[in-house]
Amino acid sequence: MGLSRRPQGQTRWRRFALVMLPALAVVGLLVVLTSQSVLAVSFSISGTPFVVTAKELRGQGFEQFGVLDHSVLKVLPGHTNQIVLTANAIRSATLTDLCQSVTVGGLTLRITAGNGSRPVTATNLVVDADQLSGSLARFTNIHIGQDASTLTEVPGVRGPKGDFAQQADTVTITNLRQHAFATTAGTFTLPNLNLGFGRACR
Amino acid sequence: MKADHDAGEGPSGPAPGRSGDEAADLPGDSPRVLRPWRHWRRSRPFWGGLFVILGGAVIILSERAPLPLLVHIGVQGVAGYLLPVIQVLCGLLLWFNPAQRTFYSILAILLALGSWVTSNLGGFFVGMLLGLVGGSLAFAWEQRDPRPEPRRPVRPPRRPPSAGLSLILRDEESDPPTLPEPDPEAGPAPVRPRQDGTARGKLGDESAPLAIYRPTAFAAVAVALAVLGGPLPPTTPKLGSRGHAVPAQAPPVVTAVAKSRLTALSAVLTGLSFDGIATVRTAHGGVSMLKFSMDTLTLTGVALLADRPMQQAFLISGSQASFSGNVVLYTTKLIGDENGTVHTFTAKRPPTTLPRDVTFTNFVTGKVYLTSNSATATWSETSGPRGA
Repeated sequence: MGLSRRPQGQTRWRRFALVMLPALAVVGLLVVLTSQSVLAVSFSISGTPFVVTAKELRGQGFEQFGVLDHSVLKVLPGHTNQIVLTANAIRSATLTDLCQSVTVGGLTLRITAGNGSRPVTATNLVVDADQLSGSLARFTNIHIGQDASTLTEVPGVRGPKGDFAQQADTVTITNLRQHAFATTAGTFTLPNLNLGFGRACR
Repeated sequence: MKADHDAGEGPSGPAPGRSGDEAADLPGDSPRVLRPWRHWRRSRPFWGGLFVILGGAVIILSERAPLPLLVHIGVQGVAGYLLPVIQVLCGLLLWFNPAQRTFYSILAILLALGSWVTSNLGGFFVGMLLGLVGGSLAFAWEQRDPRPEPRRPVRPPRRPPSAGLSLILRDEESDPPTLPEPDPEAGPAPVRPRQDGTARGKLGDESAPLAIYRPTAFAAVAVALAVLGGPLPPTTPKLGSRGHAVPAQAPPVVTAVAKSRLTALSAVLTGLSFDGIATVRTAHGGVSMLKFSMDTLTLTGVALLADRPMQQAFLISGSQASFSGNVVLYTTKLIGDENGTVHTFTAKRPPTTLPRDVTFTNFVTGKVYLTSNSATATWSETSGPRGA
């Protein structure tokens, strides 16, 4: 010590622990609160395609319309970085056995949450997908062909004027599978949250 | 975190894992060129700042939403970016303004914790953890007096180095940072971006590119014939056209300007009636459309396509779709093959007589507006809308 005449620093590990340990405790609390769906979290992912599957999606207020999204991938010849997607918006959604996986650089991150008794809930969920399907979809009070700028089922979510859109009061999709490029949600609750590396969802 | 151990002293530090209370002395054999860098690095909470910056960057990278999208998401989406951006800023300030490191490090820790809620679970945990480690390291970093006191004990007292800091740090034990940012939920709903770079008119006329999307070549042929002014349906007693236009009630909503098309390999219509011609509102004025009502509409091999913003398929495509309960179909055109006879109905050539129940093959509509009380779509295999 003190060999140098210049100002030097050192790390005091007790001080480190003094801050790190409470912070880790808070992290634990956050994880617990999230997986008990007390705390709602917010997602916004884009640029990398990812897969979302769920055993069942039930939604109140459904809208679907086309969007041009920007992607890091060149999917369509002549349309660099632009990709045609359908925006799927749900005002209030519950999902059972949600699985979401993203593969970045060969590493697959996998999030699972929700089961039959305690499903994942999301509000103002908007998913931009190029593929959306299931084994069975049910809609009530469906309107196909409405102007995208006049949609009313999800407050504040509308498409460009004149574009084709459909909306329904309720939607139920079993064995949902989406190949999506962007998702945003006002809030997510994720009971039984499990976050780790592993295989892609189905 | 394994990286903690040498974080205070750098990779070239003498003994990783030893107590930081002992001095991190300069090895005498280091090249002269590295001295300024080493000096710079050791005169500030370098590793703490670095981890904070990396953590913020990881969180930002985990989002990567395009800018127009971001602008329209609203408060929620902005918070998702704001927290990691400020975190990166904190890391930079830890480097360039190390005197205020206590404030920046605690702020960085709170931001990292808050990002769990706002930003993809804190950049899928990784970014948050980096931010916490970095913030804690920076908090724990201490500047030694440039002119070390000779009587300084090996294990110095807990007194922080500067008077200003001691005011802040005095009650550090009784007041550890515990809570993340207030939950910024309850912001306004996310709003879709208006991305109007539309490639228009691909469906504009019933021309060749569409054939790709047809369920079968038969449908394409049917459309082509119809467009060419086609083989007009030899009227059968069951189905007739060239009737006179009867006004019908328009739907209460504004329908899309975009060209659209509903096609099916087969269509079964029950309880069918033709209600007349309605002037249907669009953003560009009224469009004359045929109005049909029916009890049920069952479509096999469906493709629901629209041309804006670009040609694309909608949700029920690729499925068997059935509609029931007050099924109302408005369309500019309806083409179908009934027992080998192709019928084409348009507003100028509306149907005259219709059977209650009819089955079409190679069913094609023009611009469509379709409503019903309930609808189901069944996919034979989960193949996505393109798998028709």
